[in-house]
Amino acid sequence: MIELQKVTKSFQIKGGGEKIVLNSLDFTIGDNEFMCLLGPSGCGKSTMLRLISGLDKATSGSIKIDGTKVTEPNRESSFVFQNYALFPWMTVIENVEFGMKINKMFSAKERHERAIEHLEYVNLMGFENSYIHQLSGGMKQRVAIARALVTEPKILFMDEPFGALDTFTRISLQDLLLDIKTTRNVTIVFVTHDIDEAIYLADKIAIMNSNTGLINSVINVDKQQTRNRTGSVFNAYRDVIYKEFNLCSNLKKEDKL
Amino acid sequence: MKKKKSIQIVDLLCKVLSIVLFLIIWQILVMANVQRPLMFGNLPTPVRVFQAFAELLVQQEFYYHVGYSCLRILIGCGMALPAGVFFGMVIGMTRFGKNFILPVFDMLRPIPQITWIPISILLFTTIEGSIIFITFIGAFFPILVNTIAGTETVSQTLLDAAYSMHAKKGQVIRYVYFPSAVPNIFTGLSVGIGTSWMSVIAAEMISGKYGIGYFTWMSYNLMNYADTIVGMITIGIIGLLCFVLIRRVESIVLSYREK
Repeated sequence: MIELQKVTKSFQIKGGGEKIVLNSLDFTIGDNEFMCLLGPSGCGKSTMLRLISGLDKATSGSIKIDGTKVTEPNRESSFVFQNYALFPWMTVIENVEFGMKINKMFSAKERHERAIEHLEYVNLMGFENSYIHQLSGGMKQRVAIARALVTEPKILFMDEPFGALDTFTRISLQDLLLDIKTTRNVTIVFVTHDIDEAIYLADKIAIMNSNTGLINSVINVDKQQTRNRTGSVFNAYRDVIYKEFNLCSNLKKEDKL
Repeated sequence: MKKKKSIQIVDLLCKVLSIVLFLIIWQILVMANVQRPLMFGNLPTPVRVFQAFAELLVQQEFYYHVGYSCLRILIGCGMALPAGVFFGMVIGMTRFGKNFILPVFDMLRPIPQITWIPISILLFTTIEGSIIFITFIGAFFPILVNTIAGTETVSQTLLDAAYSMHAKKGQVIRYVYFPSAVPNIFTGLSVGIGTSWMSVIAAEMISGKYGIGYFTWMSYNLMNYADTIVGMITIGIIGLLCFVLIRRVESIVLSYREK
């Protein structure tokens, strides 16, 4: 369980003054939940993710994971970045083994086996000795996902991981992620500004508006009903979310949940 | 686009012709004993230079000179590389380095290497030590400056990635900062080895007992001008070889990069 209590994060602005990005935020994410933080650019969703993951420190307030205060990145969590963040001087398999290697997890042989196993899972067999620049964007993010999963984290932090990909690649990686969610015990905290992506993936969607530094509301998503991206239920969720963001004023009220 | 074979041959012929013409003009200028505007008549002819080169190539002493210079470069650069990388990374990564170490280097850096020669003679008990110190100075600053640049431009996302995997500071330095700086370190090394060559030749001319710079200067003093030019050519060739060697090592080490 992830608990945020009165978390505030502010940045110093050049020439004096400060910008409050998160304003005394209280929030809870339950175990094995798929939580999407949804909002426009600059609403503080990525900041919130970095604070929870321990990459940045909050200005005030407390963040706890399973009752333990977060002070630095946790061994039992992994982070997937928008621009992949793979090491260009390492091969694919060296990238996947890196987290295990620096934390001295398993023997060298076992690390290799686990890396191969996870590359198989993300469909990248045959590329283990390639360098990163030889891969497409989608393949890079598959490597990053394999690297994140291989340490068997309890929490997966994802910061707009599919934002730079084309629609078709994005859809296939979204399906991969749903498979990860159903086959493993993992909490996923996923930042996106893509409304459809949030509906398709999340159990819960936290709505963050610009400039409030708060989470306006949380929408529970019925996962059985949103597998069909063009179905009426999916569109009903879209309707709700568009209204939350005041993006529409004249939608019909035919599709009720 | 691939050029036609016939055009390639013409291009090659032009290049060969340009060098041949250069040598012919040189030969004529000397043989005609031209004295104005430059005193070309004082120079040996290219034919004489090639003869001298051929004679020197079978003498053991010539290789001693070459070997000494190369060894000095090797030792000087061999020490400058770890020193430049170490200080460069400390300065690139820490405020302490930037504010406490860098000012001294910034003050010393603009001083030309050759002007260090008197000081280095004072500092070292042996001539050999002072010459190697000069080659060290020549290579150190380019390596330092480039390492600083490489360390400072490390990708924040890659640092985040390493920290998110629970990397300790030492591991981040070894696996992220250092590999990020390697391309810049190579740039520094190839610039540095060039400066180091210039420095060693100057140092040998002033105070050496062996070395290709000493050989070049001594043959001038002995009015054996053909040997002087052989010395110049040899220095150029070895400098080029060093450069090519570094490029080769670089392309092997950095083979991960996009071609």
